[in-house]
Amino acid sequence: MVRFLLGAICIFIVVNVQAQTISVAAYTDTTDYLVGDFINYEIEVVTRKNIKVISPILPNTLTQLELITREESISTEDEKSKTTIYKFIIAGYDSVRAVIPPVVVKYRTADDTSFKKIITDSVVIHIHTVPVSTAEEIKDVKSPITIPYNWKWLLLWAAIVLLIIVAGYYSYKKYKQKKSERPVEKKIIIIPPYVKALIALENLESERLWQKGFVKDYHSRITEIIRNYFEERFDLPAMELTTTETIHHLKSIKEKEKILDITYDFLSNADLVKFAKFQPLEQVNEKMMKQAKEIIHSTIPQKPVITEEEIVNA
Amino acid sequence: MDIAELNEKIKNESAFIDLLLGEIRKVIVGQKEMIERLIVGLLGNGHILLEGVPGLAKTLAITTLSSAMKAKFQRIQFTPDLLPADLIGTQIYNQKDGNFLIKKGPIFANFILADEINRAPAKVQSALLEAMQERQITIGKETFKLEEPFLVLATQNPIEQEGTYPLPEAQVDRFMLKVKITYPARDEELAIMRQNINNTAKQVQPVISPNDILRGRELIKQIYIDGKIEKYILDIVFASRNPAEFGLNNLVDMINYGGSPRATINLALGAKAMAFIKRRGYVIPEDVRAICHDVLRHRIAVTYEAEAENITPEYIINEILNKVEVP
Repeated sequence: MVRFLLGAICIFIVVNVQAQTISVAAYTDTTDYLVGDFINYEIEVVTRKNIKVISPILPNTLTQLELITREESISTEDEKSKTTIYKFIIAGYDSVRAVIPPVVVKYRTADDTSFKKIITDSVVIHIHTVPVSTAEEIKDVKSPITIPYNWKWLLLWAAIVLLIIVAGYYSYKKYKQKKSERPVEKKIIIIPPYVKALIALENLESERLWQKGFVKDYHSRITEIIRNYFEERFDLPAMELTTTETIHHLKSIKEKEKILDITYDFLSNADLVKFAKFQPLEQVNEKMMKQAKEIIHSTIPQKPVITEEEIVNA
Repeated sequence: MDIAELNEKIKNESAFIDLLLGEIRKVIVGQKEMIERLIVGLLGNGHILLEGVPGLAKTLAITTLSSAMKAKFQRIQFTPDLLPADLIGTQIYNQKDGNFLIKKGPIFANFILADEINRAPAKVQSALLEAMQERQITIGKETFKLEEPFLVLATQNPIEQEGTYPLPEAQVDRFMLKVKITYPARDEELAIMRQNINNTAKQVQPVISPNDILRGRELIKQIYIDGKIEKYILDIVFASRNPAEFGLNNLVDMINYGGSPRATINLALGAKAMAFIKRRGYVIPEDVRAICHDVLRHRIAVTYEAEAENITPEYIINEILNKVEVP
């Protein structure tokens, strides 16, 4: 108890060297230690703000004690002064009265290039061995202690394992479901432009537009079919081109020889009907259909990629 | 009138266009489009804003046109100190009889070349543009009708130049066409060089009268324009206003404002005039497309963002024409 009380008392000695400039103090957390205890040795330096202090080093004369480590210094400042605490951990392994010798602290002011010194007081400590009672009986080494089952931990682990199993099961189920839902790739039958155009012409013919008096509509539709055909067959923006522009573009196409004159005649006749109220003869209307089919037939690619059956299905 | 009959009539009555073109080509080498647009402006009763570097025969073209028509021509050089009175005329005090005399300005002519119109301050510009619109001039208390045909051909400097007063959009809209003139082709330039060095340019003779133009204007009114063509014109103008409706989403952020109703009117008028020049009694989509750039390029304003990306009205018009379906 006495030792405990003594341990609570800190010893510190303050040395005033240059008044109001710098003061140092060295102390330990207590004066009595057991063998192998860590001794917290601190040097507190209080200076004016403009003073630079070199970190102190423990002297070599520390023979009965051993320096374990040196900790980071801690600095605090107020309006006037700066306080720095340098911490050392020391240990002693013999039962002894030990002295931590005075430590030199070097410092200099901001306007001075040379260093000055200030020395701490020495600190005395006592290191004791553990008291062993010889009167008591010698006991055997204790057997290992059996740790009782912690049911809470066991339950927690069981819950985690169960969760993992459930999550795994659902993931697998979902994957299987997705796999079964995956749409079957549909076979896309690409109908060649000439087939589309021929079908459209057949439909137009069956509507008998000009025979019913819708001559302008007939010419608009038939030119639309051919212009659409040009778009798909020759990658020509024919729907956005005028007759002259279409002919101009066709000139750059290989098959032009076959269709250039006939297309010009076909589109020009249609323009007259569409934009100039021209009332064509029956033969002209029939000729338009023939010309349209001729344009398509003259430009069918060499190797058709579709069967007759597919045409019928389309 | 039956369309075939009208077509025949137009074919006969528009014969003077070939005469006029032939006479102009005696002096002007190349610049076919500019000459054609001049005649479109003349027949469409509109005015033309010209854009092009100096030396491209702008003045020569209009003087030749006036000579071939036996019409009066005036060139007015617009300067920062020009006053409205210098343009339209003023009242002068006569000391002999103590009365005010009216001195008419150079605007009293059939063909006016308003050179560098944006060099003059706004008050002079508006005096000219008012005369263009009203076709009459008021000096003091007297109002004078301008003699028909009255065609103003204005040239504009690039607005980046110092000391220029750019024409407000509302006033630019009053020009029927904005024509861009480019350099002549190599062989054309060779012919120009030889013509000037050897002084072989022929004398232009008056081959038509102003009455021919007035009669042509009357005939143009009769030229047939089909509903499909009208729809095509509307589609083009509306696409310049609401590009998204025509699938031109890339133009939405590029257009500040599109063509005005004047654009629609002038596109139809210009297309009719083009049909007349081509000696047809009806309009076809080619006529609309031929005149479309000249009618729309000064009526479409691009946004700052588009300007930063060097997007021009020309690009926007091309995009529209490539998207709007031809009837």
